[in-house]
Amino acid sequence: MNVMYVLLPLAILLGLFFFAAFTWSVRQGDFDDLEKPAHQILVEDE
Amino acid sequence: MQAQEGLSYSFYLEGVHCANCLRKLDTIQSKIPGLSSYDFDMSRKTLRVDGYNLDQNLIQSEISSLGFTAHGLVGDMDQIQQQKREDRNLLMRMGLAGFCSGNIMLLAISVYAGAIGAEARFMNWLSFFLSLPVVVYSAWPLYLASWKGLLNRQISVDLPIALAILGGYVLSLLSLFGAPINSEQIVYFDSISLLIFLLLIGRYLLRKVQQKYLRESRIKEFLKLDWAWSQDGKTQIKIDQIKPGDLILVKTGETLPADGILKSNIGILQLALLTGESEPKELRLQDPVYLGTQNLGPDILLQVTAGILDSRLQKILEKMDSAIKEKSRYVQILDRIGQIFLLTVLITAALVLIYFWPTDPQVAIYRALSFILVTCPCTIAFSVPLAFSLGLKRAAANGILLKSPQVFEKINGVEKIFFDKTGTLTDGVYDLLSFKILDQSLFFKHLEVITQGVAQSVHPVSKALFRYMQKHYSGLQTQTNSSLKIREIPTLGLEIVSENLCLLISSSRIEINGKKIAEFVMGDRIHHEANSISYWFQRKNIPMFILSGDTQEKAMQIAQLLGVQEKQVLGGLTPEAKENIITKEESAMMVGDGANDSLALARASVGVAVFGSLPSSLRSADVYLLLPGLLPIKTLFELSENVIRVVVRNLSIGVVYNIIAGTLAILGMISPLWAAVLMPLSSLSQLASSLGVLRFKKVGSTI
Repeated sequence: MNVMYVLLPLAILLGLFFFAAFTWSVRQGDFDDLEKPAHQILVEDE
Repeated sequence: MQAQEGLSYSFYLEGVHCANCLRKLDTIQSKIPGLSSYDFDMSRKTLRVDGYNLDQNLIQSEISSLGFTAHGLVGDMDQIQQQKREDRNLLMRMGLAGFCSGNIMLLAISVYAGAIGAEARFMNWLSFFLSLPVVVYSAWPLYLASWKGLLNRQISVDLPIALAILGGYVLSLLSLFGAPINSEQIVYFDSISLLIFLLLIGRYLLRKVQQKYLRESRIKEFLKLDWAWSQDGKTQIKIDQIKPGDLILVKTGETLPADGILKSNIGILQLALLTGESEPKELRLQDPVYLGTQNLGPDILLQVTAGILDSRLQKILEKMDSAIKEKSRYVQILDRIGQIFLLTVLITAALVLIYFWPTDPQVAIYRALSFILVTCPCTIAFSVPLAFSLGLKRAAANGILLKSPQVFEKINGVEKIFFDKTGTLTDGVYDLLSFKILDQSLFFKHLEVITQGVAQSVHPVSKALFRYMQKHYSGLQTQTNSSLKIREIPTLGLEIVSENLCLLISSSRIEINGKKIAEFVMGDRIHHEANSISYWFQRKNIPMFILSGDTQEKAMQIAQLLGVQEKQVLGGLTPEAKENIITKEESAMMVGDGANDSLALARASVGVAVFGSLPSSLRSADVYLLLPGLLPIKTLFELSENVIRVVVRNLSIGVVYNIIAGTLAILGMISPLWAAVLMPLSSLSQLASSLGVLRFKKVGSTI
């Protein structure tokens, strides 16, 4: 069971990485407007 | 070009809802000189334009030429920025709670599955570290709101939740640090973190729904007036620079920018928005005229007696604002239930403490705290707001905007319904209702002259006749005929004289050389959905009243068509009189559109502004219909019934759950495992119950 003491912190570390990514995207404003991107993708770039 | 300070304007746009709209909106880039950047936020429907030497009017007209309606927002952008910051903040708290509670649950499962001794302790300690940021950071707004409530001597809905969280946390900490080395630790970190996570999700969703659909009410713009004409009709004056005594010109079709005295010999004004009178009024020299009325006749000159800030309309608006403030003091039933709930929990916990203290103080503390923890207030905190926000969403899908979820509760209690007449039960357009030709040969012989004659007049009757002729007799020569002599004779009508012909068009007939050749009726047509809605209210046994600024006689005409009894029809009412009638009613719904309704809308238990209402009415109303017609009102009633039914169901589930869980806690039978099973189970059943609102489908012919 000793492997658990290594794996658990690792799992949490992995989770922390994703949480950091989430934090970054919130700061970027990715969640500010949840509707426009869905439509924007259909608009061709000039 | 001289470098200028950078300018930025914000607009609220109506009508942008698809990719095509976005593409169209992109074209403003090339059309507006000086524009350096723009940003459209689709969920808030706000457009921000930055640049140099920008012209607000130009931007606004460019946007309207794309088919959207732009409302200027004044100083609102700061508020929106603030809102965005708060959104991000809430999202961060939510994300953190999600991350931590997910991991804690995994750790807790192994303990429930049978991990004991050092392993269990390791899991519990890890859970503790993971739950710390959730309880401190994620739940912070809850503590803040409860504390603020207490400072104002109020028990906020957040208080029971905050107490449950802190109570459960203290209990867990006592056990984590205090439990003897070989006994089991009793910790609730998983339940607490999950509770916080679910709560924040519910709040975030509610916030998003409110932001999306409730913006309209914040439009500050009032009437699209910026400029007025000076006396000679050549130079423009800014509307806020108009002073009493000034002479200004109001052209045909324009809205009066100030209160004043008529200085032209004759003026034809549409007062509908201010007074509710459907028929345009013919006014004489020295008659008083008011801001907000529309000039339907020829250009008029007026001497200003009061500018925009002292106008009669402004007085009405100010009164309305104070009425709105009074209304917001209404205490939600939910808050009251929350307070009763909290008191019950606290008193029971105290009793438990007192009862067990003599035998074993430690047991007493444990049981009291675990009782506070498991009597989970998630009904109040999570499921009822969710049901309300889903209800708001459903309403919006049916073309109904609700200013706050409390409205559902109030609609369910509506005992009387009051309708405005002009523009609500009727189309609000003064038009030709019927046309009868009495002398076929004479009429068709002179049809061309009649048409050309009315084409040159700006009188509303002439305009309506002209529209009618154009629609029914194609191929008419309608260009200006200069050989005709046109003269408007006050009280008589329009006189058209050509070589051997003298035509007179009054407000109900056409005469040629003194002989009547056609008869017609002018008026305001009844709305095609008015009949079905009044029938529906009759069946529901909700008495329907008509309040009108129009004459009693005109109001009765409509009432008879709808089967409304004479004693329930009140005509000739000023805005204040309407307000007085509504104020006397305990739970009345008022449906209206114009400025003359805004006071009554603000006073009514539920004020409904129909499609096309004035911004002032939108501000004072609780409900705003996004689609033309009256049938959405029926949908609104049905939906409210549905939402309230779900809320009652949630509360019942909550009561049953709390009695069971509370009893178990007092008996000392609540272990962390029980809490971990019961609490999410309660939340989930509540969630499922709330989703019942979604079963409410789109009704009738919407869109």
